[in-house]
Amino acid sequence: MLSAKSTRLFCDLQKCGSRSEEITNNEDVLQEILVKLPIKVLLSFKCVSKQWLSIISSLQFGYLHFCSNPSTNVVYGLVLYQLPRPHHPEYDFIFLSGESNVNPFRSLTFVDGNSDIHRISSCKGLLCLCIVRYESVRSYEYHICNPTTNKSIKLPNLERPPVSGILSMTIAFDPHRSPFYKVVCVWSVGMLYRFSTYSSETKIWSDAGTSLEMRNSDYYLFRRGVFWNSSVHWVSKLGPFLRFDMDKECLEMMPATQIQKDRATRRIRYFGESHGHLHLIEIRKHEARFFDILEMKRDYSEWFVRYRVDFGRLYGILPENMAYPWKFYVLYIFHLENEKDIFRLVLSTAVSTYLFLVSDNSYILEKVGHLYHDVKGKIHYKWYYCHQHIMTLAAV
Amino acid sequence: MASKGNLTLKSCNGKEFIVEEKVAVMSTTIKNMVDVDDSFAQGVIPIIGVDGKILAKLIEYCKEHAEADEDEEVKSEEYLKKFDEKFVDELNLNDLYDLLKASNYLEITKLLNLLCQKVASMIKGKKPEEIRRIFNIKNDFTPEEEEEINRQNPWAF
Repeated sequence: MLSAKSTRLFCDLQKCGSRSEEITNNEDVLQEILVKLPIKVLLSFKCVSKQWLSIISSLQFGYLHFCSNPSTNVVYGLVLYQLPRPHHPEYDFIFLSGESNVNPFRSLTFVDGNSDIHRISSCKGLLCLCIVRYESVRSYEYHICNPTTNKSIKLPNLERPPVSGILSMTIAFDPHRSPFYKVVCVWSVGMLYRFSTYSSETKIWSDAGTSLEMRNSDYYLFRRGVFWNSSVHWVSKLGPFLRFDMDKECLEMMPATQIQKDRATRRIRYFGESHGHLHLIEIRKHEARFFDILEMKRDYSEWFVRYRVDFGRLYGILPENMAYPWKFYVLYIFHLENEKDIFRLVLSTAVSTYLFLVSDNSYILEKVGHLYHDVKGKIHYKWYYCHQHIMTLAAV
Repeated sequence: MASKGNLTLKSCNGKEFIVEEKVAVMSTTIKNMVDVDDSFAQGVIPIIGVDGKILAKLIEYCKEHAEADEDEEVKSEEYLKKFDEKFVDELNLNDLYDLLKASNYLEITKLLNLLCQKVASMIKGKKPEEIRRIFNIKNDFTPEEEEEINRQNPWAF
C-alpha cells in the first residue's frame, strides 16, 4: 500500500501538463536545482517570480546554499572604509580572489535618510553598523546589513542602557553552525562595563549578568572585537585580553602578551581572524630586525609565533624608501589551505597597497591596488578599517 | 515472481523489471516500502507514474552505482564520474525532466543531485525572462516590484 503522501505526490505528478512546469512547481526539486547555482546568478533570478524570490530570500535556503557550497565561503576581497568619513559612503576595495574587478556594491549606503556610518563590525559577510542620524538631534542606531543581498535590519533597542551608554557592538556569525547570528554589546553603567547579547533567532536582547571594572577608554579595545572559535575577543593596550563566549554567554580571560618593560602600553598593529585562525602583530622594539605574527591556540593555552618576518628582506623588496621600520600597515593576514607554509599579508604604504607573500624561501611583493589617500599622502587604512567581504545569502 | 534477493518493479505502462534488491533499494521510497511491508519483497512493486522507458533508465543508473557502492575496487570514482557525465549528456530534455520527477519521487538522492546539477548548468547563464520561458513561469511581479528587486542588486546584471 502506498502512503497517503505518496499517493498525493503521484496525483500531483500526473495532473501537471508541461514537464518543465512540473519541475518548478515542485518546490523541493526547484530548491535542489537552485542550491547548485552561484550566489550572483541567484540574485539575478530573484525577479523570475514571487516563488523564486521567496525561496532565494529564505533563511533556510541561505543556510542550505552555504552548506552545499562550502567553497563559496572565500574572502572575495577587503572592504576598506576609514571612520569617521561624514557624507562619503564610497569605499575602497582590494580583490583577493576571483576574476572580477568590479566592486561588489556601489557604496556603503544601506540605511535610508540623512545618516552616516559611525562604526563597523564585520563577520563572515555580515556587517553590524552604528549609524548616526542627523535630524533635529543626533541619534545613533544599530543595523545589521548583508552587502551581498543589500538587505538590512535595525536592531531593537536595549532595554537599558540608553544608546549613549553603548561602547561597542560586535557581530558573531558562524555559518557552519547556524543560519543565525549574534551580537554582543558592551555598555557602561556607573563604574562598570556590562555585557548584553542579541540573537537573530529570538530577536531579543538579554543581559549576560557579567560586569567588569571600568577603565580608561583605550584600556580595552572594545571597538576592535574579533569573532573566532565561538567567542568575541578583545585585546588591550594595558591590561588583560578578554573574550566573550557566545555559546555560554559569559566573559572569560585569555592569555595576553607581555608589555615591554620600557613601554607603557602595547603597540598593536594587527588583530584579526582569517580562515579559522586568530592572529596578532605587535610592535615590539623600534630597532628590531623582525616582527612576529602571533597566533592563538584553539584551547587558549598561549600565543605562539606563527611566522617571523625579516624586516631587512621586506624592505629590500618594497619599492619605496623606508627610513625606519613600520612605515607600513598590515591590513590583513591569511594563508590558503593548500599552501600552509606561505603567509599572505596585505600591506599598505604611503604609496600603494601590496600583497606580500612570505615563506622561508622567498619574499614576494605584488601590487594590489591604489587606495584613497588624502592630499598629504597620509595613509588612512589600518587593520580596523578593513573588513572581509564574503558573498553570502545569509538573512539579516 | 522474483527469486530471493531480487525484486520486481512494474512501470505504469505495465513493463516489469526484475532487479537485484541492492539495486532497487537505492531508492529510499522502495526501501521503505520493502522494509515496512514484506509482501512487496515477494510480489510486484508498482512504480506508478513512471513509464517503462524512464524506469529502465533509472535501473541502468542504479545498477552502476549499487555495484560501485559494494566494491570500490571495481569502479573507481573516475569511472563513475564519466558514467554520470555520459548518462546525463545522452538524455533529451523530456527524459531529463521525467527522470528528475521520478528520482525525486523515488528518492534516489545521488541521481536527483546529478540531474539537478544538469538543470542548474543549463540555466546558469540565462536571463530571468529566458528562465520564465523555459519553465513556463508567469511573471507575477508588477513592473514597479521588478524594478525594485533589480535596484537592490544592480551589480548582479
